[in-house]
Amino acid sequence: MMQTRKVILFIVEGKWDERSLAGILEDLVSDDESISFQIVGTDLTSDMDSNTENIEQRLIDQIEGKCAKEGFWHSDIKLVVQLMDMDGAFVEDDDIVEAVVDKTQYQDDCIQTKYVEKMKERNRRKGSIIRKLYGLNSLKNKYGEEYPYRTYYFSCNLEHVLHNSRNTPDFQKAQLAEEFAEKFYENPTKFIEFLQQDTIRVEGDYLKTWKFIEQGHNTLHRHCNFHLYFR
Amino acid sequence: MEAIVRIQQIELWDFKNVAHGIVLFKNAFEKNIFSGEADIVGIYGQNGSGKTSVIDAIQVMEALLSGKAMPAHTEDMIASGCDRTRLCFVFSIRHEDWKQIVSYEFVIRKEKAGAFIEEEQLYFMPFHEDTGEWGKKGQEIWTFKCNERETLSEASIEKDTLKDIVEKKVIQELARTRHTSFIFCRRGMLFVNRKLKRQGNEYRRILIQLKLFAERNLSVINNVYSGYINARMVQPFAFKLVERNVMSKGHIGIPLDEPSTIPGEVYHLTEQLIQQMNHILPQIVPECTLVLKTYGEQMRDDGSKGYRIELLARRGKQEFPIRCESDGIKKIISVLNALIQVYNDETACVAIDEFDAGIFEYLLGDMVHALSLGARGQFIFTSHNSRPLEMLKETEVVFTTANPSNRYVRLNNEGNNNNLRSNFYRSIQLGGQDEQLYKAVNVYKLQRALRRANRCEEK
Repeated sequence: MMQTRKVILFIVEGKWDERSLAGILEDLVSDDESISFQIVGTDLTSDMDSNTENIEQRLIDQIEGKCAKEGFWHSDIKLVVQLMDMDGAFVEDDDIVEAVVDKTQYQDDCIQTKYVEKMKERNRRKGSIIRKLYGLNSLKNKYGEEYPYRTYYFSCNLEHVLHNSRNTPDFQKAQLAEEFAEKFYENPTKFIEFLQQDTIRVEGDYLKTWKFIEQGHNTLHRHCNFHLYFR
Repeated sequence: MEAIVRIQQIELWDFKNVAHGIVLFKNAFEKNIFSGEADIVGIYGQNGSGKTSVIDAIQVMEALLSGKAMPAHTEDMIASGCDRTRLCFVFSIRHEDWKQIVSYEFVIRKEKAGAFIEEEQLYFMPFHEDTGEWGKKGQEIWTFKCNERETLSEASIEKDTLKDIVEKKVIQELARTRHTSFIFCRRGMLFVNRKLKRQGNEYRRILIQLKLFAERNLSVINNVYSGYINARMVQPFAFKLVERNVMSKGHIGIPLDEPSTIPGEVYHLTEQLIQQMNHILPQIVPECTLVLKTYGEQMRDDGSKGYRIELLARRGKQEFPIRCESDGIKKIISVLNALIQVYNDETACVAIDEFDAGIFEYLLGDMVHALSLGARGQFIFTSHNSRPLEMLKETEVVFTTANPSNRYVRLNNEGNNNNLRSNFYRSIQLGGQDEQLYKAVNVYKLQRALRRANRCEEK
């Protein structure tokens, strides 16, 4: 019998992540692998219902929901890759400032919001969850089966890295995503070169890049460690 | 008791989009040929991969064995670039204690005047009780080859008298111009029967049973039905009814646009059909029954007695013309009698193309499930809707492949996963089967193409 292809399952927040990246990633995958995207529809790391205790199970639910839908088995999943927006998760509380804004604004050195206390609370939660997740090499389900796991960040968010646009209005996201996908269509290696640019790439190995992003205002600046996925 | 004839295998060469393919039916696959168990096969696969070809092949076989002309445009079923197609059917025949396996193989050739049978072979297939399989071709029952040069050698004179040779030529020409089988056309049957006298009854019995099977017990419902339903002109019915030992089988159509006059015999038949269907229709479509509204006797154009009727649907207390019903319900009505047959009658064999067309998938699943559990006859269907995959056993489903030279496979089930549907989806995405099941569409490239197509339009 012929070998089945193995699945690399990407867990992303929204459909624009998928639309920007899926076509490119699929072109970059080898013949014995297959790309699949699970769109969560929310940021699991900052969700009010998430905490360090349940985040692993919440990811497992996403993975196994996708597997049930597609008919994948546990053994089909070669790697789970979670892509995260940093959204200033590691800035000091003092850099969260009150301002009259409709939507939270990410600046070079601060987060402007109407609800300062809520944002501080979110950052504590999001920060501790992220720390937990990048420390994991695999996610374990209740049967003790493991899914190899990696998470990469886009800082301050996807559009910031891909388009140098930190506070992108929602209505522009579709167009930006399409433009980006179009730019690398049938030329996916250029995407790796894009991630390798000095202005984007973070030096060091997996853990080092994560330690880096925790520092100072880095989660507000334009950084990404996704190039490590292609190593 | 009637003999039970079942199709066990169909092999196709250069037929439509099938360069080569073998469809093995469920009981043959399970090596359970004479078990008398339900024999259901669903054929699944992507568009243009050879599902309908199986139904079309059965329809050609039905015509040939019945001694009728092949369906119109059969020549178009020959694969493009080829001038002939070869089809081979393996049948099991059981009549009380008597069991046989035979193959019927024929070559259809294209000529200006349409399709004709170039070659026909009937063979015994030796059955091995111990393995439950049949072996290689055994004893020949009858072979016919068109344009065979008859040389009057001593051997052939001994075999055939001059009269025989002339008769053969006549039958050959008749079969050719009428697009029928040589062996099973009326005159051919008489001739072959006479020639087989010396071989004993068994040979002739096979011929007769195959012919009866095609004439009485086999129903093929193809997409011509959907055409009628979609055009809202005629409500077609496939039917087989036995009344006072008289069996009738075939297709009738009741005009839908307005009350119309139908022949007396069609009226009586329709009346019975509706009575029968009203037992089951409310189980499928809540509160729905059919009413044959009669406006009295009326003379037909040819002077015969007819009835002016209109077909109505009744939902609760309301009655309205059936043409106002949904296409899905009309589809269900059109195949209902055939399904009743296949459920109750072990001699029935029903083949339906696009069984899922217009039918709510959950209902489709339930109907297939009911048939899989209890049908006594043989049921062959094609479908795109994959809900029935959750209700059928893996031996009951044949998948088409993306390879024209090996069109039909069963799914390898390495993980022993009981859900055939999820197994099918997984195989589409991750492979792992001996043949590729589906030339996958890249969703992201598809999205891009949709966007770009729109941009072209804007320009």
